[in-house]
Amino acid sequence: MLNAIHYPIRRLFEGLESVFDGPFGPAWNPIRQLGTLAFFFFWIAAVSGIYLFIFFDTSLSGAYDSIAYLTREQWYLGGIMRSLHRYSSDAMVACMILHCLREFSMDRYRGARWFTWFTGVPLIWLLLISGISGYWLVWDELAQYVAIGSMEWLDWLGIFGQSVAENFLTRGSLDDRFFSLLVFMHIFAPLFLLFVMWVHILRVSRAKTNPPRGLAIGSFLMLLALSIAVPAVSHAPADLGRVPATLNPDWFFMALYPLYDLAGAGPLWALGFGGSLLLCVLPWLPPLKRAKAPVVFLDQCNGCTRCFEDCPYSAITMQARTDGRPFEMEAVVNADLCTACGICVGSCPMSTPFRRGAALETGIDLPGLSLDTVHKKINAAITEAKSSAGDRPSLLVVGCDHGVPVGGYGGHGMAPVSLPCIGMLPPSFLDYALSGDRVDGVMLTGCAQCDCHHRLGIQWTEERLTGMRDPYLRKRVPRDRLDVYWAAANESAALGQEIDHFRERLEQQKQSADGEKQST
Amino acid sequence: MNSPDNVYFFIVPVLIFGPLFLWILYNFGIKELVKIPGELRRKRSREAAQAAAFEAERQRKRGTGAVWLVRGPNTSLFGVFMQGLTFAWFAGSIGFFASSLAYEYRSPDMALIKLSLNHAGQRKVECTTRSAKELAKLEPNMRAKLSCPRERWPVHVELELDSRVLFKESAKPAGLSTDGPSSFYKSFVVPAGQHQLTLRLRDRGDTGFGFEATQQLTIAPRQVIAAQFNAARGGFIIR
Ligand code: HEM
Ligand code: SF4
Ligand code: SF4
Repeated sequence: MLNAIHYPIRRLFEGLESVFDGPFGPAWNPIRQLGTLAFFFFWIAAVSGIYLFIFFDTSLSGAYDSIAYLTREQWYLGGIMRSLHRYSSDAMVACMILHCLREFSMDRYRGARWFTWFTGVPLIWLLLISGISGYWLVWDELAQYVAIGSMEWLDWLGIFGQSVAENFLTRGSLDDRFFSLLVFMHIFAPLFLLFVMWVHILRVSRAKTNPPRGLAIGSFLMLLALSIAVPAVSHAPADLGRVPATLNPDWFFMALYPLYDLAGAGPLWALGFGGSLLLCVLPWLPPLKRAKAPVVFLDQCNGCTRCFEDCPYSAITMQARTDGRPFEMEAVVNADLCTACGICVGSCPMSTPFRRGAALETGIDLPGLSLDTVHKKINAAITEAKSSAGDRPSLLVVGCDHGVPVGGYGGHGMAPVSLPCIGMLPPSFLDYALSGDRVDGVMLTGCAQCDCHHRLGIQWTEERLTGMRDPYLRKRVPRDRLDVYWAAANESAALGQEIDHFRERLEQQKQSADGEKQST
Repeated sequence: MNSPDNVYFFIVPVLIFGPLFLWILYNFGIKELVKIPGELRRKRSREAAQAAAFEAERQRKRGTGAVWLVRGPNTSLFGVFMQGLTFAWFAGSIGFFASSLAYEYRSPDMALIKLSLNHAGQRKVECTTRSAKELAKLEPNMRAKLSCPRERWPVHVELELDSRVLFKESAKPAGLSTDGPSSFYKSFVVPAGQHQLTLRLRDRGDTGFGFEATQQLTIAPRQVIAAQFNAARGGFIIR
């Protein structure tokens, strides 16, 4: 049921991502950067807002003219700042909506991620309040319409004792003091928004809050061009004695106001409150069936802190040694924060297949899929690949549960193993498979590049393989027998093609190696 | 910032939220800027060198086939051109939804009558003076001369336009002990032109109307007429 809702939206995003991967490349793909773009647009709005405030007249009679001055006389800077301020906020709304939909459709909001989702909900309100209160300050007909609509809407709750909308009754009803309250709202709401944005990413380890530079430059140029081509302008000055007739609302922020005109305050509150409530409880509808969090085995752990560094959800902390072994620290797992990705298993120096003993033991291990099980699966896959290969090269395919399903790559000399995240695979297992000539090639795959479901699995894998990060892949491993191809769940065709190419290369290698053997 | 009378309005929030804001900025990265000298600078250059080496390694291996198929950003001329097109499309939709899609709020030949009033109904029971005997029965701290049950009558208001009743409602007094004012707020969209507006108000639970006002109005298109009430100023005020 839930999958039936997720699936079409996810396909839509995956489709878009594939399309944008072409011109942008995965690293700059804006669909994968919606959260960071929202942050970036916030900063643009903040900087341009501070500039606008310097020239803004906070009195009721002066506000409109001070903004008109910026747009007309100071169009070359003030006007552009004003447009940047407006359009960056709009872009922020667009990014927020897409970001939230995307995380939803990719099922990145349940389980340990509930906190990030939950704190995202107030962001919707705060962003809308920030934008709407900004439009009040212009004090034109649109401001009048939006202000009266908002106040009447608030009045419906009846919590203020007296009507707030009364302040806007007719010419002369509104005083400077109340207007200052609106100005104050527009300063307070974005500050609070920023605060909650910070809370939003508190639990995300190494959260990315800045888009890649190329994308940032592109988005900024886009806003600048839009600001020059279509400068933001005001409506006619507000006049409480006249009803606004035709308006050009900013639909990013004001889409609900026509709905209010149509249906009244009650249904809109029901929608607002009901919708928010639904969003808040969504992570438990139904709750994610969580795999068990990893367990630390102190007799193996030497307190090296690698798992602590690599955990994408800060679920591991280091504490003083409790078992008397001569190490300074030991790892502790907080199961509430853990997504059971296994990345910590892949980072532990004790996770190596080159060990004696009945069962493979390591410092930190998943109860649901222990390293020993992974070892056995890999051994079985190697045997299967070898036995079905004939004289073709044998290939081990290691993938993850969130990218292209690799289950189908079996037989004809291939055999698959799927892990919760490709970051769970310790590089020593590649050494094990390739150096001892157990198989001819290993194909690694996972989620789309720059879009690891467990956030950091791909990055850590790349860094481990290139020797930039512990535990790294040993130098002796023949690199030409290892291939890596990141592919989103909908890119199985591309992965299949890459596997075919890889096998051809392996075959050529094999032939030339055989040829060498014969000639000597 | 030309209204000096409410300058505190801005100073107080800035004092309270300013430090919060700075603290957040600090955590977002200023921390690193402030501590730039010494250790941190060395750490950063070390990290930068590492990242550069990593990037070089990636570039070297990229597309060479054997091991690596990392696809970085697309910086080819065609890529940048297509990025430009994408951005143009995005900018176009922002511009369109931000200010180009019109909405007709009210037809321009209509006007608005806004009824907004706050009025406390009469007390249900008049105040009486307590006798000495009654006073003695009360707790010493409750011995007030006047006994005033605070409950008020609901207020009933009617609005009639050209002899058609548009509005006819009672509102309960606000407050837990129903001793506050009753309030009304309602707008009526009416065609512009000549109208006769009648307003009536009852505040003491009888059958008649204690206040009534009738006015001939010539309402211009888009004009807002406000109907208010102030007992001290003689009843209804129509503007
Ligand atoms: C002002 C608007 C918002 C901004 C600036 C923002 C920003 C971010 C950022 C920077 C991340 C971390 C990305 C990473 O490094 O992995 C993130 C993650 C997330 N956001 Fe938002 N966000 C916003 C609104 C929302 C909303 C409205 C929701 C949903 C109700 C939401 C749901 C999530 C979820 C579920 C994640 C977690 C992803 C994960 O753990 O893999 N966000 N957001
Ligand atoms: S399984 Fe993943 S989320 Fe859980 S502790 Fe290990 S690295 Fe962190
Ligand atoms: S990576 Fe392994 S050895 Fe290092 S602290 Fe974590 S559990 Fe202990």
